Order: sequence, then C-alpha cells, then structure tokens
Amino acid sequence: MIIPEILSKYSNLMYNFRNHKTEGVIFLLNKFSYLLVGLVIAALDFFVPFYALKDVGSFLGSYLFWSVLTLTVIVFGVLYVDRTWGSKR
Amino acid sequence: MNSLYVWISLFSWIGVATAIAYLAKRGLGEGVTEYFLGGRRLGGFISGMTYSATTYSAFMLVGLVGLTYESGVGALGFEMTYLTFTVFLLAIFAPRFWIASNKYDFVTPAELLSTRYESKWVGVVAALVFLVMLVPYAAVQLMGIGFLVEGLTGGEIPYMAGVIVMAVFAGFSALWAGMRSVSWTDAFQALTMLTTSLFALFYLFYHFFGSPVSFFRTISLENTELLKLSWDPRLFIGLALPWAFFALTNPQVSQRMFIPDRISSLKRMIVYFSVFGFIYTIISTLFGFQAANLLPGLTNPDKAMPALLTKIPTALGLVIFIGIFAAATSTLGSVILTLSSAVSRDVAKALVPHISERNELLAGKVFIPVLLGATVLFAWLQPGLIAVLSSMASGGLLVTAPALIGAFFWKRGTGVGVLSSMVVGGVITGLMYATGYKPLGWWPSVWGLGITSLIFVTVSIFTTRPRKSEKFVESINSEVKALGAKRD
Repeated sequence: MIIPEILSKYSNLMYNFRNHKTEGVIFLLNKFSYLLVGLVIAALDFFVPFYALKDVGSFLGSYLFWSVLTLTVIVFGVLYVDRTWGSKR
Repeated sequence: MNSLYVWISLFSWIGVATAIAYLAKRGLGEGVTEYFLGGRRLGGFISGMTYSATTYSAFMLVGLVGLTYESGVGALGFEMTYLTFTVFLLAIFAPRFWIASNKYDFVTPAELLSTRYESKWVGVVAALVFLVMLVPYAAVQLMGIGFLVEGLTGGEIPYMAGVIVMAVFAGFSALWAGMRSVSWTDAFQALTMLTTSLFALFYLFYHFFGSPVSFFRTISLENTELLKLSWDPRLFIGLALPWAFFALTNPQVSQRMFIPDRISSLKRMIVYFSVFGFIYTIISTLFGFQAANLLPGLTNPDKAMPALLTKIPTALGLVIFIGIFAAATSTLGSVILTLSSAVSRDVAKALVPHISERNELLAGKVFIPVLLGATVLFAWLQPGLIAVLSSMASGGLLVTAPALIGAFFWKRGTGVGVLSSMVVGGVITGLMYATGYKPLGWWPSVWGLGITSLIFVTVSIFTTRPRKSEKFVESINSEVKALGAKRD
C-alpha cells in the first residue's frame, strides 16, 4: 500500500524537477520520503565498501566510492535546496 | 623545530586574528541576540566559513591523519559519512531551524526544544547535556594543540604551554564581541586551514613522491593494506553514527543555522560548507597516507602529523602548524560561545524569567572563563585517544536527536517524552562509555540512539501532547513550503 504511494510521489517529484515546478515539492518529499532517502544513503554508504569493495587494495575501491557518494549527495542536496526553499527572493 | 620560530609565528597570527576581531567588534550592537548570534545579520560567506571552521577542528589534521595512518581508508569513510549526512540534514532542517529562530526569536537550540515541547526543564536538561558532553570535546581541541607544539619542538615548548595559549586566545575572541568576532575570525581561520594544508600537501607530493600521480601509485603499491577496508563494521557504525547526526545534535553548529541574514545566505552557507568539507577531508586523509609511507612504525598514531611536519622545511611546517592552531581555536571559541549562550538563555533566563537582558548576558560572559578552566583541566588529565574521545562527545549528544527531529516532524512528541529520553538515554550512554561496556559488541552510541528513540516515542504516546505543538509544526512547514513556492 505504502510503496505505490511513495513511487507515485517520486514520479511527481521527478516531473516537477524536470519542469522546474517546485511548488509543493517540499511536501512531496515528506517525512517518510526523507527517511527513505536517508536509509538508502546509509545502506549504500555501509554495504558497498564493507561487502563489495572490502578487499580492493586501490584508491579506485572504497576511497573512490565514498568520495563519489559524498559528491553525489552534495550535488543533489544543493540542487534540492536550490529548487525548493533556497529561493533568492 | 626551534621553539622561538613557533612562538613568533603563533603570536604573529594571533595578532592578525585579533585585528579582525577588533574590526568585527566595531559593528557590535546591544543585547543577547546581537552578542550570541551577531544580530542574525551574517552573510552567506561568513556563515559558511564559520560553520566550516567550527565543524572542522584539530581532529582533522591530528586525529583523522592519525586514524588514516593507523587504519587506512575506513577513516575516510567515517569522515565522509559525516559530511554526507550533514548535507542531507542541512537540506531538510536548515530552513526549519532558521524560520523557527526568526519567528520565535530563539538564541539557542535548547530554547527551540523548550518552546516546542512547552517545558522549561527540557531546555535546562538539554543545556546540561550540551555542557557535560562538550567539555571533553572542547578539551580535545586543546589536547591536539598541546601534542602538536610538544612534538614539533621536541618538547622545548611543553604540552601545557600550548594548551594555555590556545585557551586564552579562544576565550578572548569569544568574550570580546561574541558571535561577530568569533565568526569573522572563523572565516580567516577557515581560509588559513584550507590554504596552508593544500600548500603542504602539494609540497609533500612533489618533494617525496615526485608528483601527485606517483604518490597515488606509490601508496597503491607499498601501502596496499591501508586501502583495503580493515575496520570492524560495528566500530565503523559506532563511530560514524554520532557524527552522522552532528549537524543537529551539536549546538555549536546547529546554532549557526540561526545566524544568516536571509534564506539565500543560508543556502550559500550550505554550499560553501559542503565544498570546504569535501576538500578538507580529502586533504586530511591524504596526509595520513603520506605519513604511513614516509614514517612507518609510529607507536602513537596521533603523533603522525607532528612527525610529518618535522620532515618538511621549517617555514612550511610553521605554516601548517598555524593552520592546525586555527582549526582548533575556531572550534574551541565557537563551543565556548555556544555553551555560554546556553547558560545565559537556557539556564539563567529559564530559571529566572524576569532577569534583565543585561544580567542574562552577564551570566553567559562570566561563564566563559569558568568553562575554559574546566576544559584546560580536562586537557591536563589527557584521557584516551583523540578520535574516540571526540566521538564519545558526539555519542552523548546523540540523545538529543529524537527530540530535535520530533520537534519539526512529530506533533505527538511531548516534553515528558523528551525529558525522560534525554535523562535515561544520557545516563545509560554515559555509563556505557565510562565502563567500556558494549552489549553484543555494539557501541554505546548505537544503544544510546535506540534507547532514547524508544523512550521518546513510548512516553510521548502515553502523555499529553503540548497544546501548541500542531500550530508550531504546521506553521514552520507551511513557511518552508511558501519559500519553495516563491520561485514559481
């Protein structure tokens, strides 16, 4: 029941982002969606380095993964801020 | 390194920082908000730099370098986890904190809790949690500098001399003009931290490894084990969890969400901080790998950075030393100022509601030297490894996370729920850290967050919801929504 609801909210969200329509975005990404995004980030942050990249003895392993994950969150975080509450007016 | 050079560079830098603090003081107005929040008139750049300098401390170039030296890539993961979640939390909570602080004239994060949960005791207990947990964290900054000057001069400047010089300067900059002098000097300190460390990093690349590319190649070949993730997953979670919530639970940074002059400055604060944090984390861990390759076999990993500084020319070593001193001092100054605002607003004003604004401010100012004395004492006793100690402070502060999240997202949360969760959760977490007890191998922070959340939710369900909680949550959320709608 809740999964189709979240999926539907995300498709609306992506539509709004693509079309620069930000009204209501903050509520589309409601508290349960925040939680979900946080959990996905946490899962990637932990499981990929500790299970998929554990024995890669190179900067191209966990070092690169954690750096890229952080940069991705920064880029999407700033984009989210810019398109929701970070208005210049 | 000659101790005279260290003293000269230290006092020259303090001279420049003092001149900046003097300029900041010229614009200082009257009152508590003016003193503790710079009158909520700070622009995006100064806000971003003070956020960065407050967050990133001596831990980075002393503790994190040591942790990377000892345990490799896991240290980067731990610090990047912090940054990732800080950006995530700021994107959600920064506008809410900012709107709430402007709407209700909040000066401290504990005040936000006491207003939202309609209980002055919530604010008092939160302020006490902040005080108890942040004293060791502030002391860690002093210890970092103490170790550094001692290591750098081969003991010519004793550990306690470094500690005392730093404590006096940080106290002075906090006392002089409050948030204005602290944030202006923080901006200078942040720029010092970044430029000096970048300069030294590239010197080491070219002088010892030939180029950045050959550095990465050398480490991959000669220190392969450090690039493999050797951390125990439970240690990683235990250390990273408190830091993931740092942006909310540490009042010296969450208070900085109150200070920008407008919402666009708040956005720029997040952007500047994110960029600064990413670059500074990469630099710090690369120093750790450099030290591991150039100086293998050190028994105390916290001495890796001081030892690395002895390998570079004196002038460059001094520049880096100043960068670390700046990092530690800015964090200490901000912590001291935030804690004095907590004493002023959350204890003095809460317990004596009719206190004059002048006396309220005086209570906070008088507390600054008292607090500094306590941190110096703690640094003198030198407990534990720096990284673990820093994390313990954040681990203890984690008990405030459910209440802070609930303040904006759970109307049902009650004052009794907050009080019981912070008191019981705080005592249990503190006891676990003190005794080293880790049930099932999981760190106290993990248990602390679980227990605190459980108590907060359970007790809140069975107690009466605050009368105005719905109005508080809905008004803040609708104002955030309105900010987004303005763009269309």
